[in-house]
Amino acid sequence: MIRWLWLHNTATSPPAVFAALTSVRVVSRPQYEASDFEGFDGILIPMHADQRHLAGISSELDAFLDGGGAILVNGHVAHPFLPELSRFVPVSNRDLEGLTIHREVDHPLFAGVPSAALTFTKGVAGFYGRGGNPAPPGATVIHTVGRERLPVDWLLCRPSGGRLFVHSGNTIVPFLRRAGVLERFLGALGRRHGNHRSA
Amino acid sequence: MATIAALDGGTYYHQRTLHEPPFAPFFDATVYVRDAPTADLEHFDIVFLPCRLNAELLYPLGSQLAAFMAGGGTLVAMGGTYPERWLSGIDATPVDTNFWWWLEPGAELGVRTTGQGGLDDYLDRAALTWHLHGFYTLGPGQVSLVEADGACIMFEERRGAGRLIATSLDPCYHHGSYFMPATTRCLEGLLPWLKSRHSARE
Repeated sequence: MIRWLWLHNTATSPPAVFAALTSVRVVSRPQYEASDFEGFDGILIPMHADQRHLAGISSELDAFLDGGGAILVNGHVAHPFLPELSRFVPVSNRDLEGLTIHREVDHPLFAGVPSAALTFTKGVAGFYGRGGNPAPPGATVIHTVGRERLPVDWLLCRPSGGRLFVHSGNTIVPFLRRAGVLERFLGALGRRHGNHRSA
Repeated sequence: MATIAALDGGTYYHQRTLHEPPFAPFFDATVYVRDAPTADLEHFDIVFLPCRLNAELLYPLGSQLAAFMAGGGTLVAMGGTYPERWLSGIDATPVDTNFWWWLEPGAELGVRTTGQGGLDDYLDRAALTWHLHGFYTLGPGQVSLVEADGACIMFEERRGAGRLIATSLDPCYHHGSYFMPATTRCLEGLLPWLKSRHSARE
């Protein structure tokens, strides 16, 4: 069982879809009370997270990655809370071409998911990403957006340990659910590799 | 000119709305929401709670914010801050949001200003129309400012020497997400109106 921690920061409920997962367990805790990451394989940071608070616990998040864990970041980075994060850059033109999602490399996390399924929701472009959180050296940029090909999705397997996946838009969970790959995605990203100690 | 302090929930959309152009100059101060219990909010004329500020953090501030209004301040509770949960006397009903109403040719949300409070001088229908998240059933002393098909989505109320302005509209969230130009236009009108409204005697 792969265990993820959802850092909750709204007065509404976390996504109900997590209850349907069988090989992955997502546990929701209020962001400010979730200081103990022991026993989790991944930390899921939703778009509504308080990034000022995350910047204050940056060393704990960094240590979680060092221990071989995974962090899935959603939203626009406003307060870089990990050394690999930089502030969000919006697309310059929000027409159809400016909001088209491009697949830069095929990646197992998105196997079977056409990029058009990410560009369009009910035939409308612009929901998946409207800019990018800049990717650090060594990251694999999977999806970009617009003419500038700003990095919407990237994955970094850190030399020091851990996997950091960054989605520069609304929380990726509903998109993965609609594409039928939510459980596979969280399972693969959360699976520990190598001989890192248990976080 | 009335002074305005905003609480900052640390989200990216609060960052863009409160700290970046074009709206940063409207805010005389921002207070990180977790520092609010010890902040001297009474030094400001208006306290602005931006959209989707986590209401769980506002419960413990309820009496502090009520005292701010009693002392003459204007409290502004934007969409998704759920003031009905941490202030008395607010009857709110959430609605299932239709995010896709505009895909139907000729459809409209039916949003209108009521002509009250001088809002018409600052905001037109287009700048108030994107989504609906909830309606208010008004009590004594509460004056509807904006309605959707006749149901109130923004009201004001004198509370003590001050005033409450509450809305279920969430322009800060969308503007801060680079989403929906109408929400940027909404803030362009709403923020100057708030400063003007604070000084009104009525």
